Amino acid sequence: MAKRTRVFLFAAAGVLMAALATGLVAWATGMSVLAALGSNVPVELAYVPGTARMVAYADVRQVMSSPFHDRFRQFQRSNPSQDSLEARTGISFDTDIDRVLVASMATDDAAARMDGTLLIARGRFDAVRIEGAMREQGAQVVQYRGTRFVSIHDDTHDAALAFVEPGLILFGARDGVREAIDAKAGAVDGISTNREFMALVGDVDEGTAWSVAKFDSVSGRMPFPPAIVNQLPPINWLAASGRLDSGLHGLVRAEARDEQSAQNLRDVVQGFLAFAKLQGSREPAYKGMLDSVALTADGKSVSLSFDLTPAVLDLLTSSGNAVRPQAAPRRPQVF
Amino acid sequence: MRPPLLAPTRRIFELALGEMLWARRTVFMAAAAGAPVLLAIVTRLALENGSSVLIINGGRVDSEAMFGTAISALYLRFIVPALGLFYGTSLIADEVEDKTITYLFTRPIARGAIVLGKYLAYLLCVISVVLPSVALVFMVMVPFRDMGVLFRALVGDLGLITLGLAAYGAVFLWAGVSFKRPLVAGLVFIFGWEQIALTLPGSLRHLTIAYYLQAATVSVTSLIVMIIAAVFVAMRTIERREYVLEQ
Repeated sequence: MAKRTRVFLFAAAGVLMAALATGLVAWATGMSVLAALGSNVPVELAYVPGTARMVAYADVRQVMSSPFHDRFRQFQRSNPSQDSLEARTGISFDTDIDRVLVASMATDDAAARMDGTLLIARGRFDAVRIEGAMREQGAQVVQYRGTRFVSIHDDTHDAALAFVEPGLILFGARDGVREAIDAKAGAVDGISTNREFMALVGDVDEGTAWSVAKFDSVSGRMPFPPAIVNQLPPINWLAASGRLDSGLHGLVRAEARDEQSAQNLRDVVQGFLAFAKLQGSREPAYKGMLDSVALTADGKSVSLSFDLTPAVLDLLTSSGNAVRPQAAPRRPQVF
Repeated sequence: MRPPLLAPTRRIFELALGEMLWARRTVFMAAAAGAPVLLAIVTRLALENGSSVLIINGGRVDSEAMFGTAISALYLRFIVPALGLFYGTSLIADEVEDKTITYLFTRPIARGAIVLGKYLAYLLCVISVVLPSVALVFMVMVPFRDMGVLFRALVGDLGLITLGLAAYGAVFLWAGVSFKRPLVAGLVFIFGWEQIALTLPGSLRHLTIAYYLQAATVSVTSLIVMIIAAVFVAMRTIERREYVLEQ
């Protein structure tokens, strides 16, 4: 065999092997090297520890500039809690932040759940002003893994902020922020090693905002009585995404434990939809929204997509104004 | 005593492989295999820049669907049959047309070894061009995050394309050995008969190669049986047929 023929065959085999090796690495390691190789998912995920039970992302700029946000501006909280981002640092969501990722850590204590919340924000931050504002409240500044770490920690308050990259801050409880820096440094497992979670993120990260959560971490906060939630078929993961313009185009996806559970869940949701259609048939705006709902089941996944038109949003906001209850006193929150 | 098969097959294989790879015809093969790679690069750049997004029925087409479409529509429906036709029919027919088959027949080797050696050279030649092309399309078109999910599909597609090249090559090798003008009949078979038969109800679709390469009806056993039968019949045909060379 001539030399050039051999060289050609080796080159062809090399290209083939390179693709197979890359695919094999991707298959074997799941999504753990996503950030390093420049995937489309938010790079901020590298800071989320593997213990996170819920991760939510929002393109704040897009949300703020959408007509959808204008409709709901009236419902925004006017006096944030003591440990909120704005109260502690002076950072404004409206003007300073471009996009934000929120992660809620694993905890059995429902009351402490908010303390286990980590906020990762990208935007424009005046480090000197923010640090000054926190120092005035008794914050201490230390270095942690080469990062400037500002924290207010006493018996009643726990808030910390770290400037981890230019234009990127971490904010949350002191231990949570430290764990996030550890996750980025590779000292603890990051969420990107969770293949199941990352596959769901890959499916929903096209939206203006999205969220992926272990179902048990959000089931307690669902707007349904526990008796109904307990009757639902076993669900492992819940993912949601929304694209905002003048309305909202949403997708909610549940990953059931097995295909039978998915089928049961689909039947339950189908029943709710039939009931809702019966109730909403007299109001054209609701009817339009209900007609846009598409329910599909594929393997262990059950997906529900819907469109909230401006007319429906007007109806919702008007009914929200009419029945909005007084805010009840609550435990101090991180933000 | 029957002449040996293995050693002459290897000699013919080495000779034919070099000729095939560096022939002018290879430009056609390179163009056929390179076009999907160029298409993949353009698609990826357009998507990365956000200048265009492929949307079908209101849904954004993901990389999995795009890669699947490239494999089924470009490779299995066009490139694989076309390469099988142009190379398979020419393996022996070109020797007859150029009147060089006499030189091979005068050597003290089994005529079957000529067919087998040339067929194996064809197979390695097209595999070494088409499979790297598929690999490049995979690496360019599919983002890393989706590669893990698509890895099994890639391996399956590479196997299917190899089988397709082998099956079309074997059938058209037999056509080249048996008929005087195999190219026209081959074109009619690929772009006429196969396209029509696949859409017709009933069992006519079983009389195509494409049917056994479709994801829903893939049959590795049928393809292997087809390959072995076609190569065997081609070897038997060349041993018994008398080629009259036109002056």
